[in-house]
Amino acid sequence: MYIDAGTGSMLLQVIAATFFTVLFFFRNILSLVKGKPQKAIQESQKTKLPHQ
Amino acid sequence: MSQLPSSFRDPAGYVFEQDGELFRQLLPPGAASFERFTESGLAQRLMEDGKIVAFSRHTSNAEGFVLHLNRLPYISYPYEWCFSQLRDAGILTLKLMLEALDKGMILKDATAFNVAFQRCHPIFLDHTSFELYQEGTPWRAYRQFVMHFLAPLLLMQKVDLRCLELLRENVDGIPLDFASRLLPWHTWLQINPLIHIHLHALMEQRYSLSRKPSHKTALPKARLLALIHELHTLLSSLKPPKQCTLWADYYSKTSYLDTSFAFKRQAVREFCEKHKGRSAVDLGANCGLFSQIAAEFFELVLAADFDGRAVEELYRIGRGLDTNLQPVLLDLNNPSPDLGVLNEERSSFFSRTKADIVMGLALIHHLRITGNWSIGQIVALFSKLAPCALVEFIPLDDIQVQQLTRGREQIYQDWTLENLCAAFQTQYAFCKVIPIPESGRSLIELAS
Repeated sequence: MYIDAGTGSMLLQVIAATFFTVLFFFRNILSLVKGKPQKAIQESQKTKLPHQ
Repeated sequence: MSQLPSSFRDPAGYVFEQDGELFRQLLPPGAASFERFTESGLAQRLMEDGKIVAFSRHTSNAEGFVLHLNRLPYISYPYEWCFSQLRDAGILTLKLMLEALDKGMILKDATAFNVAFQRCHPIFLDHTSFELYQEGTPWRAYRQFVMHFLAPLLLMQKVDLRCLELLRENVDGIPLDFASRLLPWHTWLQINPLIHIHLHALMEQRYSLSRKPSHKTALPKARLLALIHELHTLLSSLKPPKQCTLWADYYSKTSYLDTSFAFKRQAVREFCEKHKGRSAVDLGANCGLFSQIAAEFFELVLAADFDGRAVEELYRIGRGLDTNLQPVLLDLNNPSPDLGVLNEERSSFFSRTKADIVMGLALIHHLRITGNWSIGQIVALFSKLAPCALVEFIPLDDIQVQQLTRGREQIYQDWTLENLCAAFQTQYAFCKVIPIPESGRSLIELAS
């Protein structure tokens, strides 16, 4: 299969990815503040998440 | 050599069949990507983990080189899966995407047809989907992923399990504007449906008629990873809806006495043992009580039912016990037809399905009475699928059949054991009736 995604979808993807990056950042800050190095942090270490 | 009708879109290669074996021809546009795929160790690791179909280099020719592919025993299509199967296929696609990014590669497409099931385990089929990743480029297949996985899953969860049928009408994925219209209003207030479906549909619409040159979009890898990770978390959190259906708890309402039911189970076991071989089909499998017996004697048992919850249960059992079951969502009144380009891309249920035996237990009275099938059509159903069959006959005076006929008994006067056996004998040389004690019902054993 082969697909050529449209402009609208690409732009949405950039917006969505940026939004989720910020969301990850705040989720991890929140879990650090609560003192619980939660699953989110462990997973982000595994997959080299954006803020690291 | 015959090229598979479903393998024509990718300029990097195609799959063909020769002497009963499957091969993939790699073409020059995909050569560099495939080299990276193998040399990085990614291909080997994914094969060892059972995430992609195993292959080996076969030969080279003028076009490029040829891979020999392991053939899966049975290919079922996304519109024949239950909720959890579609979700697990989506999760596999995202896992492959993460592993590919780790090796400097990316999935260039994300169709649900790139995944098949090997019994109850999803496996990726398309080796040429992996291409070189260029830093800063977005994921071209994001929209396709949403159309093939996320949109149908959200529709099944938030509207109705039967929304899966939309995938049969839309083999290239459910259009986003359509999904957006079908989803309930409150999904506009939920982050993931809002972004991936509703805003996505609006953005697509906004730019589809634009005559301006396309915007250059850049997406750093770290942000792409965040998106993929979020999709992975979302899919992993999706649970099948607890929608009540007629058949999901059928066996808890069975009208059998314990002794009659034990007899039936033993008869099924003996039949399977007698004919044991490679593949079996259990039509109207419900929650797989008899499919599990067959799975002890056959390498593959296709457990087919038209009820989404029942197939969900079959999948849960199959995964938990790691048996030879492969669940298939199938409505016998309207089985999967030939679909796609030239009606050749996706083949019909009957052209894909041939087995050593077929079972139809507590099924055929529904075909005759609810579906108004003729006895000849019932015979054709079984004889098309396998040379040996085990069928359960339930007479008109049975309480469950009376619930179905409800005052229309006159129409079904031909529904007798004698008529049924006579019809089966036109296709099967061996026909043996096994009465089930204290039930009025009978099993009919058939062999060519």
